[in-house]
Amino acid sequence: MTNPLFQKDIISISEFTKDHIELVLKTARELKAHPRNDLLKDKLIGVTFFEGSTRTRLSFETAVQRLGGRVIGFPDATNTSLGKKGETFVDSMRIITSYTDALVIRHNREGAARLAADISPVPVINAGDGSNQHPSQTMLDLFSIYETQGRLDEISIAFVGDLKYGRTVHSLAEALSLYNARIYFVSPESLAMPDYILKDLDKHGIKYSIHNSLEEVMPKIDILYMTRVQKERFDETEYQYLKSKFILTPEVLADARENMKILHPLPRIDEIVSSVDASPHAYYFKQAANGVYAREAILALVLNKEI
Amino acid sequence: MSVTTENKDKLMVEAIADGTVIDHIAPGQAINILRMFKFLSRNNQLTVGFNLRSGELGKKDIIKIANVVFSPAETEQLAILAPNATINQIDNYKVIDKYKLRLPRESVGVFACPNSNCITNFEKDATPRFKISKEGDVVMMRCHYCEKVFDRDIVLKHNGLES
Repeated sequence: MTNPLFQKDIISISEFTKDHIELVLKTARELKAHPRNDLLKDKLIGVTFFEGSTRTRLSFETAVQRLGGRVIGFPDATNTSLGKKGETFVDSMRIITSYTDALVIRHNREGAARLAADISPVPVINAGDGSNQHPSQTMLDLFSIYETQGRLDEISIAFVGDLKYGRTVHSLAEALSLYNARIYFVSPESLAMPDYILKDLDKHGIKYSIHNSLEEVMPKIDILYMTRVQKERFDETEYQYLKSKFILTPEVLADARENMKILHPLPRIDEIVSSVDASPHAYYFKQAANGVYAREAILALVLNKEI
Repeated sequence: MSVTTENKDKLMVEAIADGTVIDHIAPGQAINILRMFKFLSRNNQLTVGFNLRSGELGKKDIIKIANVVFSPAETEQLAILAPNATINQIDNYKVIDKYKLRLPRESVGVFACPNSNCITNFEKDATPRFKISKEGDVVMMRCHYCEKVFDRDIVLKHNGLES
């Protein structure tokens, strides 16, 4: 039977059903346990990053190569015809997708991946479009939650840090709303979760609450999802203040449940002090490694009728 | 045949021989319709009523424009501005077609996206598209590209229309 993601664009987590999510996670688990180097044999994948992102790009390229495929592309747009000669984005996408079997795209403007998908004859995978979506990140987050907790249903999770601009927390909250999660939001007021996300959670009947400190939610959670306050969004004084508000130290973890794991989309700056890295709760580096399996699963499903 | 519902309104607006009467427009939206379809720069006979009495809405706007027939695509645009309006098509002083507008599911190429970082505001080859839905009485528009959801009035305001 043809898998439901075969030849599909992967643009937004809002288009994923529970069945789709579970198919990706199951495939990722299988590829982690039993690596395959044949699923992208003879396939050429365009990996086009109009905005730099080392980890996401390298993990996509690693995923392609581990599955036996090959990669063309660029790590940023400055040396392309688009950057140098003023070629339109649509023309560039038309050409690159005529060479390749699938396209992975990262862009600083919201909607760029959808626009590429609308004109592309081959599947397009969104590797981040501005503040909008980054579905493979959500998949690797869900994969890590499942791996550490053995389930996705009824997880208690705290989102900490920049909840206003952080697209990873928006998408993960959206995905977890399919699984009856209990969500705790911990952030400075100026970086609180946007209303439209809260409304969406209300619609799904998801229980959530808003908190001022990590300590008050610590004993109640299975997953602590930390995020970075992005320096470029604030002036220096405000940044220094905001980033000092929620810093994770070993002391803060004293009341944590035994099964509690810390996730972070990385890069972390100093919101998690390095002495936390040795804690059994720290999972963010394993989470980053899982990025390759989640991306392998997406690529394999999009380019193979059956696995 | 009369195209208005009340005798007093009938006295205020002159009948047209051929054209379209848009009735039961939510108060305030007639001016947007005039702007969107550039009715003021045409030479057609045009009568507009603002804040007329109406049983259904309390108040309503009305537009009568001679020698204009709305295409299905134009009717969809119109429905975004006036989802509860009624269209009366007039031929030789008679109503030959009358129908209520229905909110379209999509708007293509009509409104620019209010999100300043949406790709449609940078790529001339991208046609802005919105999915349209209703939350209670509020019309919501979701950009096909950036996926941001806007209250219709925010989209109208961004596009130089009043709300």
